[in-house]
Amino acid sequence: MKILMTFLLLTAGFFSFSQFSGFKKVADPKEIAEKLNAASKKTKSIDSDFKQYKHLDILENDIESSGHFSFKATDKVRWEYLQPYKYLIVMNGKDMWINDGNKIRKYDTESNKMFKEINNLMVGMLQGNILKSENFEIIFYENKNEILAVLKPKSPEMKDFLEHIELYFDNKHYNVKKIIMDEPAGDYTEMIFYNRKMNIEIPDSRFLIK
Amino acid sequence: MKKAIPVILILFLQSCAAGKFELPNEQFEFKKILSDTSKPYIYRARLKIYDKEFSGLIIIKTGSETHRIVFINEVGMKFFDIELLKNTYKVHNIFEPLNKKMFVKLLVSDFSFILMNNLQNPFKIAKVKEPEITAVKPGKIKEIYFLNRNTLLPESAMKYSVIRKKVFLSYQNYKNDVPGIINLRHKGIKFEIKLIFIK
Repeated sequence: MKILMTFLLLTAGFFSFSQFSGFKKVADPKEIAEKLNAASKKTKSIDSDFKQYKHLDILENDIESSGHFSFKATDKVRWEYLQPYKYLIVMNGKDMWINDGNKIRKYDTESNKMFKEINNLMVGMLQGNILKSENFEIIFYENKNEILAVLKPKSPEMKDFLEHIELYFDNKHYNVKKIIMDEPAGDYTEMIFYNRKMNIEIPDSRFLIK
Repeated sequence: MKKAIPVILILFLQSCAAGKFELPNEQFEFKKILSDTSKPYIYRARLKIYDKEFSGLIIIKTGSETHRIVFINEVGMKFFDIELLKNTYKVHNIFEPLNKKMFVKLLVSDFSFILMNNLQNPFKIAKVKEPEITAVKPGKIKEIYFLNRNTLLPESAMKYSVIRKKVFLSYQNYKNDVPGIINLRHKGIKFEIKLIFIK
């Protein structure tokens, strides 16, 4: 038994198995980071459908929602929730609008620290440039089809509500396929992007609400 | 003179309360809202705090003597996760900009009020005109719930203390004993809670 345990410990170290099932640590993280950064620079727009699952330990079933997402470099984002309710968030530079179905509200993200943080985080994750952020310690993993970047926050304030972020990129075009935001107590949010179209023309009017 | 003003206000409020409601020696069982422990209640939520507004979902999970209240925004980020326990509360998580002692106390107080946690069953009721009946919580803080005589569910409520901070609450659009809309607002503090039932 002791021999088996010793063997398992040694081989685990050799193969660099990770806590993320099916993924192993990337041998050359610098090379991967450069490829992802290059892809991020080439990303001028993203247009995609998404599904979102909010897992809360107190709930038996996840809260499921879906909608459409658009991004246009460098700072325009449109999140549109269509099911089970309509809700729209538009970020354009320092401006942010929310339409909750009843009312449109406009916010200045410069004067609202919380919205600014959320804005920066969401745009950074989808564009991929969050990988250049100094606010996170980043570890890369890979399997046959995907690269996984695990971002651990450095600041105590962020650690209070975010354990880590998992960004899943396809290893062909280096685009974000899935995001998981893990919280310290075990709750998490999972977003899956599908029907993705990269670098298509999206009119600026999509990022304005009047 | 400064000392006299609160005393006059207290006397005024007490006289109002005593004058409006008779207190017959009658005991009554009323229904507490959101009391099913087998399922969570999910509401669309909007909280307005002075000039800031937060919107998202509020999930309320009722335990045998507890309520877990989780407020998340639409992209899934948690604003707060607070558990109301018997005579106390536990903050499981709160987003740093909202982590102010006064704000947490206000949330605990308001959600306890919404969830009727300070009322004990059976309760002595005050008699008022049809179709409503009224339950009154005696003590330092007065909570008055206006219940529908047929359903025994609350339709509105009011809270005031000796320092005359008022809170107004309304429950509307009931479906299967679950309020479809819950509105809470303060007089004196710019704080409002609006909840719209989803499932």
